[in-house]
Amino acid sequence: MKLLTGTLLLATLLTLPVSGFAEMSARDIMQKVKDRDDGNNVIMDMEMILIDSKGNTRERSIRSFRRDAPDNPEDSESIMFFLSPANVENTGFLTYDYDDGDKDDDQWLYLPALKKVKRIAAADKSGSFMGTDFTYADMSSPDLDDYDYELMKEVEIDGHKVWQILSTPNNEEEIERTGYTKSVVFVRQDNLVVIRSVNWVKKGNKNKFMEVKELKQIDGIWTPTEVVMTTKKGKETEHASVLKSSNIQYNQELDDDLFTQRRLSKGL
Amino acid sequence: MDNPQEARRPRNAGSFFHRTRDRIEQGFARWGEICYDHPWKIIAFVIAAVIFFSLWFPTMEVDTSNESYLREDDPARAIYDEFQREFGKDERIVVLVQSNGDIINESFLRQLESMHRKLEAIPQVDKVDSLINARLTLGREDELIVKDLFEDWPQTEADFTLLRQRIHDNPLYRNHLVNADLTMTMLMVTPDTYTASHSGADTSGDLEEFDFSAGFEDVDTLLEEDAKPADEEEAKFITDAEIYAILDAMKDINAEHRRADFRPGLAGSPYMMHQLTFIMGRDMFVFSGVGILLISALLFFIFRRWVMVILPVTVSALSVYFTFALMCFFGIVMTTSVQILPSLLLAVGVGNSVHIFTVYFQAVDRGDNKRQAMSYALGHSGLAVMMTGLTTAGGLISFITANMKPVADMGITSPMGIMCALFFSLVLLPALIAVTPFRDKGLKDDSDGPFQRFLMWCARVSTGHPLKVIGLWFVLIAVSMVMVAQIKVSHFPLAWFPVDSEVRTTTEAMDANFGGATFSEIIVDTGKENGLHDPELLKAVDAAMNFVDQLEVHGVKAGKATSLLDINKELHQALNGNNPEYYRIPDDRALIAQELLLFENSGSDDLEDIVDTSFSKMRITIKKPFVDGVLYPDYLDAMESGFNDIVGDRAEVVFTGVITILAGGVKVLIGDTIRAYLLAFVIISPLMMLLVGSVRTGLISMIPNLAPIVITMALMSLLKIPLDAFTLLIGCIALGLAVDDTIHFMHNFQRYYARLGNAEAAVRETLRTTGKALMITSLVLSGAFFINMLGTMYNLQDFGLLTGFCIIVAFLADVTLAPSLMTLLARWKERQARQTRKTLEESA
Repeated sequence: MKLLTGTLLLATLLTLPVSGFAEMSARDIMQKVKDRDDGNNVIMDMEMILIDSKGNTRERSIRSFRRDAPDNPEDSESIMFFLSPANVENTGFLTYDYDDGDKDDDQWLYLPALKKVKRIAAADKSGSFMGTDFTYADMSSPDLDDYDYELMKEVEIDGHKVWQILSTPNNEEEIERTGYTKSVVFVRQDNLVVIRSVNWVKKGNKNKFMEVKELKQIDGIWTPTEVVMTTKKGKETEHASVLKSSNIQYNQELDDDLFTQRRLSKGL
Repeated sequence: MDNPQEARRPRNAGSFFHRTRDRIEQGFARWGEICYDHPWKIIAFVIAAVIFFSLWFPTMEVDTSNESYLREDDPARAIYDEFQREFGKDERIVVLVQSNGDIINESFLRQLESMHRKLEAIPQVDKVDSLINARLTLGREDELIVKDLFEDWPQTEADFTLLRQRIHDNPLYRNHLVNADLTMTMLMVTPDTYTASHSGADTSGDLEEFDFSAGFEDVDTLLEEDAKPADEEEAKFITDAEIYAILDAMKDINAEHRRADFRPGLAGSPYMMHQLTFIMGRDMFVFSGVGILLISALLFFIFRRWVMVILPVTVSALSVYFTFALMCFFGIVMTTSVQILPSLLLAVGVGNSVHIFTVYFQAVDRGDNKRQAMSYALGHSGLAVMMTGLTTAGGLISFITANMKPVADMGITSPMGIMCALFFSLVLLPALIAVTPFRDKGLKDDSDGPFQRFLMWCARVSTGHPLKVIGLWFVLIAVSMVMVAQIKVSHFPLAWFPVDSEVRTTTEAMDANFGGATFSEIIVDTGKENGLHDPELLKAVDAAMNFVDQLEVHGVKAGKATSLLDINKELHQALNGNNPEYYRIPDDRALIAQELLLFENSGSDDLEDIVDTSFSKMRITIKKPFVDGVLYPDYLDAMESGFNDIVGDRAEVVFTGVITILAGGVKVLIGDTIRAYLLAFVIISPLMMLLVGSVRTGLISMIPNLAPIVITMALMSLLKIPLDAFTLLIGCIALGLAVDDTIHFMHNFQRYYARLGNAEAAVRETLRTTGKALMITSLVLSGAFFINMLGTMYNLQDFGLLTGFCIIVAFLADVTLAPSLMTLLARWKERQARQTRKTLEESA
C-alpha cells in the first residue's frame, strides 16, 4: 500500500512540468503575461518603417523614454522625441497611459514650427499610433476584466512552444475602444512574451497580424526589438509597419521633470 | 415555271463566272439531296455539337463595367486599374435623402444614423461616408479635437442650433454632404475593391478555417525587390454581381427607412450600370420573346402552315443559343453590346429560312416530291443565302477596328453569330424539313393576292419609269445626307431612362444640389517621400483646384472637390484658435509635416484614402454632374491643361476616374463609326461584285445597300435621336438586312436575265418569286422590331423604331431602286452592244 501510494505520488510529481503552468487557465496565462517584468523604466531608440502594398516606405526615428507612473505603477508615462526626418525633428510626444479603461489617456504633441504644445483628444485607443499600423491599444496592455479568454491549443512557432489563446471583449465599449472584435494571441511558454497575434478589426472587415521578429533578453528582461504589424483585407496586404528598437536601457535614473509638458517643449 | 432539271443544267458555258456559279448551285442542289437522304445523321451531329459547346456555359463572364468600354491595352484603362489598386474603388453608390424641411432634428438624424449603420454592415461595403461620421476638426484652447461630427450626440435645442450652424458653415459639408438649405443629405457607399474571394468577404469567420500563418511573411515579400504577392494570381476587382448584391441590400434598407420626411433614392454610376443592365436586359428578353411570338403569328397568318413557324423560329433560336455557347468556349467576355445579338440573329435566321421555304413550296406547287423540292430549293437559294451570310459577316467584321470595346466586340461576336445562323439554315433546316411530316402541298396560290399585286406594281413602275424612280431615290438620298451631317453625337445613358425613374430623378437632384454623383480623380505624384510636405506644391495644387472649381465649359461645371488640402486647412485653422483667416495652407514645410503628424495621432484614418504611405502621392476627388459624355472631352482637356499649367513641373499629374473613361470612349465614337462603315463598304463591295460577276454592276448594287442606312440616319437627325454607342450598333443590323435583301434580288435577277435576256421580264420574275420572300421577311421582322417601341427605356424604343424603319426602307429600295438601276444598266449594255455591232458592220 505504501509502495503504491508512494509510486502514485512520484508519478504525479514527475508529470508536473517544472514551470508549474500545466493547470493554468487562459486567464491565468494572460495575467502572467501582463505581470511580466518589463522594467520600471526604459530608454530606447525606435525606428519606425511604414510600408505600402507596393513596398514603398516612409521612415521615422524616435528617442523614447517610458516609466511606470510613480503614483500608480499600473499606469505609464512616456515621452518621445523625433530625430528624423528633418521636418519633424524635435517634435515631441508625451503620453499618460491610464490602465483604467474608463479613463482617457492624456496626450500632447509639441510642434516646434508652431512653438506650441497641443493636447490631442483621444477618446479611444483604436486610433493609429503615429500613422502606423499599430494602434494605442496595441501599444498598451488591456484590462483583463474586459475580456474572456479561451485556451485554444498549444502549437510550436520557430521551435518554441506557445499557447494559442482566443481573447474576446466581453462588452461593447471595449470593442469600440480598441476597434477589435476578437484577437488570437500566441504566448511563448518559456518567457510569457506574446510573439504573434491576429486581430479582427471591426471597421472594414480587416485583420491585423502582429509578429515579434526579434526578441532579446536585455538586463534580464525579454524585449521585442523588432515588431511587425501587417494589415490585411482577405488576401490583400494593405500596408505594414515595422518598429525596431535599439540602444535599450532599463531602470535608469530618470528625472520626474522629463515627463512634463515643459520638457516636451524643450526637446532633447 | 422553272424546270428543276433545267436549274441544274449549265446556262452559259462561255462565262467563267456563270460556270462557277452554276457549279456552286449544283453543289447546293446535291447537298439538298444529301440532307433528304441522311437527315438523322445531320441532326445528330448538330445536336452533339450544341451539347458539346454548351458545356462551356458555366464559364460565361459578363462585364458591364465602365472600364469595359475601353480595350484592355488602352493606356487609360491601365491608369484606371492602377489607381483602383492603390486607392480603392472610385465608383460609389450614392443615397440621396430628401426631406420636407430642415434635416437637423433628432428624428431625421436618428433615422440617418440607423441607415448609416445598416449600410456599413452590408457585406463587401468598404465604407460609408455621411454626416454621421463626417470629420470635425476643432481647436479648443490648447487642444486639437478630431472626431466624427456625431460622436457626441446633440442633446438640447442649443446643441442642434450649434450643429446646424456648424454644418452650414463648414465647406466640407455644404454642397457635399448636405445641400445649401439643409433639406437634403447624402450617404456615399464605397464597395470593396476586390472580389470576395480576395477580400475575405466570403469567409465564414470560423476560427477552425482561419489560416493563422497567412500575414506573417508579407513584410519580407513587400520589401524584396521584384516582390511577388503571396497570392500569385493577380487580384480580381469586385464583380458586377457582387456590386448588384450590395445594391439589392441597399434597396431593402432604403425601403425600410422610407417615410414622408425621409425619402431615400439611389444614384451613382454603379447603380446606373445596374439599372441599364437590368432594365435593358429584361426588356430585350421580353421583347425578343414577344418578337418571336409576333414573327410566329405573322408567319402562320401568311403561310397558314405550322411548319413555316416552328422550323424558322427553332433554327433561329438555336443559332442564338449556339453563338453564346461558342462565345463561352472561346472565352469571350459578354459586354453591353451582346444584348442586340438575339435580335440580329433572329432577323437573319428567319430571313434565311423564309427564303429557302418559299422556293421549296414553289417546287412542291409544280409537282416536285419532297426530295426534288429540297434539291431545288437549295440549288436555287443556297448560294444567295450563303452570300448573304458572308457579306453580312464580312461587313460586321469591320467593327473590330473600333476603339470602343463593346463596338469592337460586335466585330467578333456578330460575324460569329451570322455564320452560326448560316450553318443552321443550310444544314439543320433542310434536315428538319426532311424529317418533319407535313402535307406535300404547296403554298396557297396568291398570284392575285395583295402581296403579288404590290410586287407587280413595283415591277411595272421600276422598269417602266426607271429614271424617275432613280431620280426620286437620289433626291431622297441627297436630302438625307444633308440631314445626316446634322446628326447629334452623344453618349448620355441617363437620357435612356424614363423621366420619372429613380435613377434619373435622383441623379438629376444630385447634379442640381450637390454638384454631381459621379467622380473624376486626379493624382498628384511628387515622386519622392514626404513630397507632400512642400508648401509651394500644396499651394499650387490649391490654386489648380480653385481653377477647376471656377471652370465651366459647354455648361459643365465641377462640384465639390476633396483632398489632403482640406485636412491641411482644417488643421491650420484649428491650431490657430479656429480663426477662419487660417483656413489656408501653412507657409512652412516643417509646420505642414508636424500638423499632419498631429493629425495622424488624432484617431482619424482619413489620410489613408487620400495619400499614399510615403506621402509622395495625393488623390483629389472631384464630383461631376452626369451630363452628355460628348460635353466632357473639351471640359476635361481644359481642366487637364489648366491644372498642369498651374502645378507645372512640381509634380506629375494623372487624370482618371469614371468620367475620364466615359469621355475617352465618346471621343472616339465618330471616328469608330466612320471607319467601321467605310471598312464594311470595302469588304462588302468586292463580295457583291463576285456575286454578280461584274465590277460595275457590283458597285451599282451597293446603292440600294447604302440608301437605307443613310435614310435611317436622316430619320435619326429628324427625330433628334443621337448617334451613340447604342444606335451605332443598330447599324450592324441595318447593314446585315439591307445587304441580304439586295443579294437575294441581284442573285435571282442575274439568273432570270441570263435565261430570259430581257431586264423587264427578269425583274418581273425576280419579284414574283424572291420578292414575296423579301416582302414577308421585311414585314415580319420590322414588326418584331417595332414591338420594342413599347419598351421601358428610350434607347430601346429608338432601337425598335429605327431598325424596323430601316428594314422597310431596305425592302423598298430592293423592289424599286434596284430594279430601276438594273433596268437602266441593261438598256445601257444593250445600246453599247448595238453600237458595237453597227461599228463592226460598217467597218466590214
